[in-house]
Formats: sequence, structure tokens, C-alpha cells
Amino acid sequence: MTFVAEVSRLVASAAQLYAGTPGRQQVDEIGARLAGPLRVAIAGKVKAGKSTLLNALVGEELAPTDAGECTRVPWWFRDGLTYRVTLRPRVGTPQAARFTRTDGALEVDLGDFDAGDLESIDVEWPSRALRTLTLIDTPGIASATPALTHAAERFFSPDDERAGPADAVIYLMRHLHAADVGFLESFTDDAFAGSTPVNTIAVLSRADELGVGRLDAMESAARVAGRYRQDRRLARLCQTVVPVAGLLAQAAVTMREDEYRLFRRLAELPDGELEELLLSVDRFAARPGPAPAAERVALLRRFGIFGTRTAVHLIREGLGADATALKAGLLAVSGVDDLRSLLAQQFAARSDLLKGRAALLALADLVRRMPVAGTDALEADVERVQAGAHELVEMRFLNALRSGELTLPAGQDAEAARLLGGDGPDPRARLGLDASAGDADVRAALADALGRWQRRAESPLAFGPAKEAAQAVVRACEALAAGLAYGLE
Amino acid sequence: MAVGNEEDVSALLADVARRAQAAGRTDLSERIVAHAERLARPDVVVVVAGEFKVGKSSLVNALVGAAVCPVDDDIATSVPTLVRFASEPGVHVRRLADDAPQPVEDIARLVTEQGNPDNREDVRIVEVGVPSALLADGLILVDTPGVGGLSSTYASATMTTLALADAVLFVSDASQEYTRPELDFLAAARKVCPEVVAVLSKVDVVPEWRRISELNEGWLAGAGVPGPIVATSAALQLRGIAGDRADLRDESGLAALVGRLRGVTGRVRRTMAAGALDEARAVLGQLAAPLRAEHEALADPDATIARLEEAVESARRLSADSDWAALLDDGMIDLENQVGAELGRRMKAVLADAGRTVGTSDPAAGWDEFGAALARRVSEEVSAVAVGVGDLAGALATRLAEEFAEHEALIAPMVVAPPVAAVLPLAGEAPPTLTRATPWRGVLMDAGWGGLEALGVMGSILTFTSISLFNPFSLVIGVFIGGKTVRDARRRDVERRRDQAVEAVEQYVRDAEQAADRELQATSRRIRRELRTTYQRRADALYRSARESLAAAQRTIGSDDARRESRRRELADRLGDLEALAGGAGG
Ligand SMILES: Nc1nc2c(ncn2[C@@H]2O[C@H](COP(=O)(O)OP(=O)(O)OP(=O)(O)O)[C@@H](O)[C@H]2O)c(=O)[nH]1
Ligand SMILES: Nc1nc2c(ncn2[C@@H]2O[C@H](COP(=O)(O)OP(=O)(O)OP(=O)(O)O)[C@@H](O)[C@H]2O)c(=O)[nH]1
Ligand SMILES: [Mg+2]
Ligand SMILES: [Mg+2]
Repeated sequence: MTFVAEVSRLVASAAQLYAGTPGRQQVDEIGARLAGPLRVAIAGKVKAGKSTLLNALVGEELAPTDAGECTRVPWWFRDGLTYRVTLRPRVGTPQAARFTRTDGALEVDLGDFDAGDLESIDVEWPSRALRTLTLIDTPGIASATPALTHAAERFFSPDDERAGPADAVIYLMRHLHAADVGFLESFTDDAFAGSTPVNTIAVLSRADELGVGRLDAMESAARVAGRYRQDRRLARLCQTVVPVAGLLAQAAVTMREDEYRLFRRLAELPDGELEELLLSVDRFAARPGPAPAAERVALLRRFGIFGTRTAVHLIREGLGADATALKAGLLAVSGVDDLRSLLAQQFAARSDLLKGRAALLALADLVRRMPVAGTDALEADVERVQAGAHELVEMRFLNALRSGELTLPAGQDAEAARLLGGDGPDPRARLGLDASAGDADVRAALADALGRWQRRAESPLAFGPAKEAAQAVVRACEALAAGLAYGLE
Repeated sequence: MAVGNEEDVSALLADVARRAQAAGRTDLSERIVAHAERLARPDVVVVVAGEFKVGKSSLVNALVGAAVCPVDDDIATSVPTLVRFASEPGVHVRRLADDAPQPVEDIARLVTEQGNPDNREDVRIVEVGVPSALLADGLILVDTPGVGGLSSTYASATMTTLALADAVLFVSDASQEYTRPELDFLAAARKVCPEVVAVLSKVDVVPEWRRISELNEGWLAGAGVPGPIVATSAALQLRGIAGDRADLRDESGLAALVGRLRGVTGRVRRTMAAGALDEARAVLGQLAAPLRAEHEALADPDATIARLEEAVESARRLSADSDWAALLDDGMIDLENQVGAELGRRMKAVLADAGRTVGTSDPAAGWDEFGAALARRVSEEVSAVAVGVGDLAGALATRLAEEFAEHEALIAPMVVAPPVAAVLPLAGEAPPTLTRATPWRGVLMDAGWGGLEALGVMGSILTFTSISLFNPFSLVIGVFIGGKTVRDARRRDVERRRDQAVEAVEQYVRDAEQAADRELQATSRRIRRELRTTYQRRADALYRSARESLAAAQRTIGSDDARRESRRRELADRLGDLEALAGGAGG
């Protein structure tokens, strides 16, 4: 039985045990969560660009963004059949809310509610992007307004529930600040309950600003992200760090034809004139140039100085022959494409595992809080699955390797992490092969890895956690072999 | 003479020094000359601080018009860099162990995180000289490492530096309004530093910078920091300089910032001028004392001789040692005790908190972070104690000055002039206070140190808070736990690891406390020594003035009647002259 099937079975038996009791509703919620899309929260310091990145990922300007402090309540964005916004107050029943869309972003009428009264705002929105991932926009931490930081903390570690509402986290940080580490640590402290390196991806956000909007800004950002990836402290907290210019991605994915035309006209200006115009944001808005000033201001606001410079540059290089080409070029530069594939590889491909793990936590929590007849046996079952499921064991070792809690003899760490699914659970990713590698190569690499790790696991010199880790790697290889039904001689 | 401007002040100082020289009182003329020199080239220290990567180094470069401080997209500055005037560019490095000039090209290797990671080179401070017009009148800019970084023990070092500065430029970039850590830093800076100038940087790349500036002004008002915010673009200024384009330089907003800096320099100079004029009056009082003695003796010999004998005795006691020295010694001992106790109290709190952390987690999971956090905390506490030393020493120096003023009034009563501050013409500004804005600056200036020397005195403390003088925590922990076992994650070992961790923490904090105590005591001893020397000189001068006065009076009594009338007139003239001069210096 697969891990997720086993968890589903536990949820089903819990549903029976709690039938007719108040706990039943919670079991149903756990079941729904297991069946629904993965829930990914976007977290980070205030103004890190969370809402902007969310919009870029959805492909629409939905979440409100602003230069001043903005997101005050967690906003859930899920796929749905109709357009609907629901307010969920801390006390009382959820209510449908009126909403409008001006200038792109949603404007929700809170009615009699204060932002502080709300647990969350729930947006149902028919969207292909939301079909596989439910995205949650959260208030910023380290805000000058303490209430907002509290709102963020409450979301990630609610008092009444051990399992947080998110299955995975995209953590945005501009430059790594002590506050970022403090926050990441605070929801990583329990080895099993909280977030772990495996379900957290860090994004170096507003990456264009690191190189202060210069054309080569993203290269600088890549360099800084590279340094962060080497940082042991960060490795304990997240899988990897990627740079993303969210504003550019958001603007590019929603670029309009008139905006494209304006970029073209800018690109056609003589060199000197263009350079003068792009020297500063005030010049760009005020100097005489193509199109009325208001249009240029709007363009700058949407794309930023970096996006504007890049768009013009791409067109001049012949990489923006039409709006579609320019859009693709800008998205590639923004880094959002890389983030998307990382999400697919690390989160979507592990979706069942991450959701199942969250569901187990919620179940364990429920039976502890509200025991009824028969839950003793259920609790024991939950514990058995938590301890025994190979997927979870794999994840635990992966986390231990990443955090430096566990180190293997020289040079083995990286390979072990990879085979345990550190670069993604796909067989080729695990074996360190190209996505295009042929079956024969996969077979050879797998046989090779299996042999090597069997020897390590059985070596008389191996003991303790290192031996256990080697055994877990062997099991991972065996599972690969079984899954692919490759015969091994 | 009206004291309207600095030339008048220095002319007056020169005059007073000349008269002291002519009277054979080089001890007094030296004091005036020292003030005059300091006034001609005051060290006005302005610290440039803020979160990392907001453009602090770029701003310094734009201000001085040269690429002095290394700039980078990734973390750059790791050592405080002091930029001052020099006719030839040059770099001077002050290390823990020694001070040495360095080739100019070496600066990037010394002050950046890349070139000198974690300050392996043990550099305390780097001084750079540049021939910049802005710095010609004594302005010194101190570029500092960003305060928020991950491995930042720098924040507390920066805070200690602020306590010695005349002003701080608090830089934040236009991409975002102030955050909590920035507001906390601002609030702390406002407490220790006399003037905070808020700078908004990188306005050339942020379309909404005006909005951010408004939001920030709201926060500033709440924090009690006077605006307005100065919006700047270092990039435009540097481009404007390189391409010789006035339009870019105008747009950069740097002119407004230079205006604010001039304001700071002006304020500091006026405070210094006020101090110099006080000194001039005191010296004139002593130059006049023998004349006055003689003049009075001609009228009433017996009473005069009696008064003068009393004054000589009082001055002898003052110079031989006595109350003021006891006051200083007792005060300093008291201070050292208080500092030791305060340090002990704080370290105990650190231990307690660290113990709690260790007790509730598996230490193996995060040695590095834990060690870094511990080091940061320790250095914050030490920095707080260091600032406290200044407060205590400042109070002591004030009492000492009051004690001396009484003796001076007895020995060399002079012009009863209104306090200088009340008469210095200061169009539309609050008069400078003679009790200086920060106790630290106050005590150090009383001891005869200007801004830079003050930084030097504090250097050891700065060093202490930025680089550890004692073993890094990683070494200490290594003594207790072999590298291999640290990685051993088996649960049953957690208890043992916790015990080892507690031991290691105790050892580390104990070492830190000892090292800090040593440094703080050394600093306070140095302050005591300097105060003692300064006031001893003053006492000796007073003693000499008193003796000369008595001798002059006695000579007069023995002289013949015929010359007495003309002598009386001459003395009255000369006294009137000195009093007019003193009036110019003070009323
Ligand atoms: N240059 C640049 N600006 C960005 C980028 N992402 C966001 N911004 C700007 O940063 C500001 C804040 O963006 P938001 O997406 O609202 O940030 P947030 O993290 O959701 O903010 P809060 O909800 O208030 O915590 C807006 O003015 C955005 O235009 C980026 O990638 N580059
Ligand atoms: N466009 C623009 N870029 C700036 C401006 N000021 C600084 N920068 C850029 O911002 C980045 C950081 O500048 P630094 O001067 O190194 O910043 P810092 O605050 O000294 O950084 P640390 O010392 O690392 O804390 C560099 O890439 C600079 O070129 C500005 O006014 N406009
Ligand atoms: Mg937001
Ligand atoms: Mg710098």
C-alpha cells in the first residue's frame, strides 16, 4: 500500500470512530485536505514581495500589492468553479463578501469586520495555476506594526493546532537578515511537526534590486543566492535559495499589447536619448519622450526600472519580435520559470508525501485532544505509520543530512541526499542523470548505486546513524528498482 | 570685542595666548594654543549607519567625490572606515596589535567581507585620507558595516561608535518603508547621539520613493527624530561628477545633505568656540590676578595680604593633592565597581537565557547559530556597559569641574560675565549647551580629547565588541565535545550534549566577562589618568598664579610712596584692558 493510501485508510477509520461527534467535522477537513491540492504558503518579512510573487505564480493580478504595508490577513487562493470570496472570522460563521477588481487586484469589502477580526480571507478563483497548488499569501514579519508580525506568527504556529495550515512554504527574503533566520527557525523547531528543509524553498526576492536595476542585476542576485546556498545555517532551514524578480514576472505574465508597443517605441529611440531617459525614475517620468507621461509612469510602476530596461534591451537584441516572445524572454530573466520548475520538482512531485505527513500530524493531534472509544488503537496506527513509512524515513534522513545533524564519511553526503530525493523524487533526479537519459543508463546507474550503498550499509565499520542512513539509501534504491520494475541481476 | 564669528574668536585666542606668553606664563598660553588649534581643525565625527546594502559606502563616496569605500551588490563593508581630509590620498590601518600605513590599493582587502572575512586581519579601524573639499574643515565620515546582517556582531560596535559621534547619517533605501529593526536602531541611536539625520537612498531607481519618504517621515515624527528626510542618489551624483554634469548632481540631492553636514559642523564648532572662550576667560583671570593683587594692596595692604595668603594656601592644597583628587579616585573606584557589578549582572542574565535555550533543544542541531547568537548577545551587553561607563565618567567629570570652578573663583576672581552660551550670537538657533550632548563626548572633551582622540580611547572597546578578544565559541565548544560527537544525532545522547553545552557556555561567558572587564577597567584607568593630568596642570597653574599674586602684593607694599600713584593708575589701565578682553570673551 502506498503511503498516501495508508493515510487515507487511517482517515477513513477516524471518520467512523468520530461519526456523530464534534470531531467528525475535523476528520472531514483532514480528508478534504488530503484529497485537495497541496497548500503552499508564501511567507517572509514585510514587503518582501510576497503578494507580487503570488500574482506572478497565479498569472493574474489578484492579491493586493502596495509600497506601504499591505497584507494584513492570510489570503487563501484556491481553484474553484466560480469566483467567490469568503471571510472567515476568528469567532462566528464564514460569510460571503462582496468584491471588485479595479486596476487588477481584488478589492474585498470587509463589511463590519476589522482585518484583525479575521482568521483568513478565502478566494475561490477558477485558475489553471491553482489546480495543483493552493497558494496562501501571508502578512509580513518584522513589520514596524507589531500586529502584523503577530498575524504572521499566528498563522504559522496557531496555538490550538499543532499542524500548521500549510503543507509547504516558499520563504521570501531580500537580503538575509537576522529576523529571517529567527523566523525560519521558529517554525522549524520541532523535528517533525513544523516545516523542515524538505518542504521549504527560499526565494531571494525583489532580486532586481540587489543589482539596483542594472541590466546585469540578476547575475548579481544569482551570485548572492549562490553564497546563501553554501551557508550551513540556511541549509538547515530550506532546500535551496533561488533569485526571483517578482515584479517583472507579474508584469510580464499580464503584459498588455499597448505596453508592448510602448516598449517598442522606446527601443527605437536613439541610443543617447534612451540612456538619458533611463538614468533615473524621475527622468523617465518627466522628460519629453514617446507616449504621454502618465503612460510611462504606469509602465514604470508595473515593470520597475529593471523590467523596463530589460524589455527595451531584449527588443533591441531581437529577442522581442512580438509580445509573446518578449513575455517569454522577460519571464525567463525574472527567474520565475526556474522557481516554477523547482516547485514542480520539489513540491508537486512530493505532494502526496507532504499532504500525507500533514494529515498524520493533524490526526495525531485530534486523537490526543478529543479521545473517543477506539482512538487508542488509531493512535497506535498513526504512530506506526509515522515511524515506519519509508517515505517519511527518507525525508527524515534527508532533513538530518541537510541540517548537518548527520554527516557521512567524506563525500557521501551529497550522493546520499540525492538518492533520498534531495534534488527531486524523480528516478533520474535521484540518480543524478539528465532528464533525457535513456533507460539503459538509468538501469546501470541504479545498479551501481545500489551495490555501493549495500556495501556501505553492511560494512563492519558502519555504525549508528551513519549505518541507518546507508540502509535508508539502500531502501530508496530498492524502491526505485521496484517502482520502475527494472530487473536487476 | 564682539564675538560674531570664528575669525574673531581665533584673533581673541591669539591675543590671550600672546599676553600669557609675555607674562612668562607658557603654562597658560599652551592651554589656549591647544584650544585654538582644535578650533582651527576640529574633528567632527559623523557616522554613516544603517541596514546592510542600503548604500552607505556609496553615499560616503558620493559625498567625498571619490571611490574610497568599496561598494558591492553583496555584503561589503566589514570594518569601520574613517574618511578624513588629507592633501595626499593614503590609508592607515589600526589593528589590535599595531598601527601601520598601507598602500591605498589595499583598502578593499582590509575592509570588505570578501577580502577580510569575519575580520580575520583583526583590523580595528581603517583610516583613509582624501583631498576632498567637503572634509577640509575637519569633517570626518565613518562608514560602518551594515547592522542587520546574519553574522552581525557589528550592530553593537556601531552603537558604541555612535556614542562618540557628533551626528549619525541613518541611511535607509527607498525600496521600502522603515522596518521594526530599523526603527529600533533609530530609537537607540537617538538616545546616544546628539543628532540623527535620516537619509533616503537610491531614489533614482524607485518610482514610488516620494511615498516611502512620506511614510518614513511619519515614523520619524513618532520616534522624535527631526526631519526632513534627505532623499539622495549616490549613483546620480557619482555619474554627475564623472561626466561633469550639473543637472545630474542637482538631481542627486547631495547638496541638501552637504547642507545638513555643514549644520552639524557649525554646531560642533560653536560648542568648541564656547569652550575655548571659557578657557580664555579663565586664563585672563589668572593673568589679571597679580595686577589686581598689586592694585588692591596699594589701597588696603593688610586685608589684601591676608586674602592672598589664604588663596595661596588653598591653591597649594589643590595642587598638592587633596579633595579633588580624592573625589576623582573615589569616583573612579566606585565607577569600576559599578561597571564590574553591572557586567556581572548582565553576564549572569546571558547565562540564564543560554541555559534555557540549551535545556529545551538539542544543542547538536544548531551549534553554529547558537554560538553566533551567544557571541552577539555578549557583545551587545558589553557595548551597553561601555556606554554606561561614559555616563558615569561624565557625571564624575562634571563634579570635578564644579569643584575647580569654586577654587578658581577664590584664587583668580575675574570678570563676572554671563555664561558664554547666552551671548554667542546664534541666529535662530538654540544656544549650544556647555554640558555636551552626550556624556561620553563631554568627559572626553573635558579631558582634552577631540572627536578622533575620543574614538581612539574607545578603540579598545570598539574592538572588543566587533571582534572577540577571547576564543570564539566554536573553539570553546570543541574543547568539550569532539567534532565527531557533535554530529551524532542519537536521541539518548541529548542529555549528555546538553550538559556539555552548559559547561561550554559557562566557560565562554566567563572568558568573555574577564576579557570585557579587563578592557573596561583599562579604559576607565585611562580616563582617570588623563583627567588627573589635565586637572593637575590646572591646579599647578592656579598655585603659580596665587603665589605670583602674593609676591606682587608684597613687592608693592615695600615700594616708595612717590611711584605708588602712577603705579596705581597703570595697574588700573592694564586691568581695565584685560577686563575688556575678557568681556569680549564672555560678555
Ligand atoms: N523592484 C521590485 N519591486 C518589487 C518586486 N516585488 C515586489 N516589489 C514591490 O515591492 C512592494 C511590495 O510588494 P508586495 O508584493 O505588496 O509585498 P508583500 O511582501 O506582499 O508586502 P506585505 O504584504 O505588506 O508584507 C510593491 O511596491 C512592489 O511593487 C520585485 O521583484 N522587484
Ligand atoms: N542606483 C543606485 N544604486 C546605488 C545607490 N547607492 C548605492 N547603490 C548600489 O547599491 C549597492 C550597495 O551599495 P553599498 O554602498 O555597497 O551599500 P552598503 O550599505 O555600504 O553595503 P554594506 O557595506 O554591505 O552594508 C551597490 O550595488 C551600489 O552600487 C544609489 O543611490 N543609486
Ligand atoms: Mg502582501
Ligand atoms: Mg558598505
